[in-house]
Amino acid sequence: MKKHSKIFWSYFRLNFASALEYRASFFSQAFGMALSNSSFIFFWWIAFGQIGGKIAGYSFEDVLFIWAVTSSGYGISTLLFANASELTRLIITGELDTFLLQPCNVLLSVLCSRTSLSAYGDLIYGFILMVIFYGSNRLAWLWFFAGIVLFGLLMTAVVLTAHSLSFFLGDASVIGTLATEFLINVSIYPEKIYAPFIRAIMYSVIPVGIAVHTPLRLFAEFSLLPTLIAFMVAGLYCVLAATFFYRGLRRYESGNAIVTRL
Amino acid sequence: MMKKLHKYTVITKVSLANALTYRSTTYLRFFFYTFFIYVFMSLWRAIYQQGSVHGYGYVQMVWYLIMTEFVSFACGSDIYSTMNDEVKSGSIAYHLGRPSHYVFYQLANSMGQVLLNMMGFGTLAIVIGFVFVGPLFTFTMAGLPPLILSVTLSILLNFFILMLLGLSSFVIEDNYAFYLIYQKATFMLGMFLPVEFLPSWLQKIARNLPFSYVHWAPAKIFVDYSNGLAIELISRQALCLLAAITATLLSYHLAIRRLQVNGG
Repeated sequence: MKKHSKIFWSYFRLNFASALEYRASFFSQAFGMALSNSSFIFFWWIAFGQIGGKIAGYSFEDVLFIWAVTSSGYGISTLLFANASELTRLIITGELDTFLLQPCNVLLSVLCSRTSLSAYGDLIYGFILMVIFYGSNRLAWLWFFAGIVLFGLLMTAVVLTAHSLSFFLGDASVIGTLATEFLINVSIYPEKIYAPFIRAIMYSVIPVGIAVHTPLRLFAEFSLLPTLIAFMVAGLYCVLAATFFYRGLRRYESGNAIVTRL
Repeated sequence: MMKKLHKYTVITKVSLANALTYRSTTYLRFFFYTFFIYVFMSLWRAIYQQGSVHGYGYVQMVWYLIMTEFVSFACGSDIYSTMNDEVKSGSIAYHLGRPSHYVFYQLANSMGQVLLNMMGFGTLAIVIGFVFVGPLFTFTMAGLPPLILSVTLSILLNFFILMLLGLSSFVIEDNYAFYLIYQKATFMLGMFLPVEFLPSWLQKIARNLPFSYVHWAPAKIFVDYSNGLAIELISRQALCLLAAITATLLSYHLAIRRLQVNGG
């Protein structure tokens, strides 16, 4: 465990140093992403301004809360585990060989070896929203952090599972993209706008509802059981995703590509 | 003149053949298009439980979004990233040697994909609209020619603005922020919301900027057609397009002087 933590932090430090090496690109992508997210808040501001009150049971502040959790949760996932979405490419091109030869945990090494520059913008954006709209409301911050952890874990696990299908089906990048888009889109809108079957998926196959909408409900009214269930489901999904990855890895056939990692 | 036009028509035909061969990503975009419309339809249904907003009924609003997303999905161009890659890698040198103007070569080249998308997404858009909310009663066949003209102007306006942004890579290496600003300006000023929904102070600004004329103009003509409105919006689109073409050609002329290509 200690060894894994060391590898994790080493990857984080190296990725961060590498991001800072190209500062202009780093800052423009991070700023661009924060700006991009702001345009959606503008949409909500206009929409709530038009009708006032609530939309599908959510107030403007509620929408900002789910936006903050989704943005920062997505940011933390792609900042620390950006390679989950690259797994299909690694499998198909045979670049996974490089990771198999290293004397450390394969999954950890694969997931952590890349970062996304725009992820910093996503991560910071959630915090900016919280500071502006929730200020020093400690309870809101507590559930915000809980949401980030849950969303980050689930997002990584879902993307990893979808791309691990490439071990069995060939190029599964389309499934990975679809899963990611679904995950994001059901997280940033009030859940009641969706039909029951979509909500059923949100709490079963891709249980992102427990990462975004459950923390919002628990912030309004705390209950111990849903809290425990949310964390247990996220943990279980991660274990299942890792198991699925290793099952798939048994079917992996090495390529003959010569790859250098610098 | 005809010979020149023929040359660019051939380029478009080749690009259409390419687009037809590599169409798997188009299917994925069909799915996303449907999904986004579903998401927004669900959202606006919730919003419209409060009544009509700024004279737009629920059905009009959904068709409005179908049209703006159609312009975005079907008529979008990747010319911005193409320009960036070609300038940074130096591969632009290959195009400069061709017997065609670089800007118009890229326009003709991107039209193949646009034509294919327009047919595919156009059909899908009609099906989605009818399945999700039924017919749009405010639309009449008399509005079809102005609508086609407005969509064409939107495609060209979007292309030339993106080309202009791409040309900035001659001067600024990392111009991604410009692209995002443009993208979000079009999102906010017409794509997600009609301009009429904006606060009055912002409406005045939006109506005088080219960004609104990419999505709002064709969608407004589509859902709320009248002769006067169509003439006004199409004239403004044409004016914006003229300005964008002039700025692009001038920038290209200046940028090409700065180009340094090293052999290798």
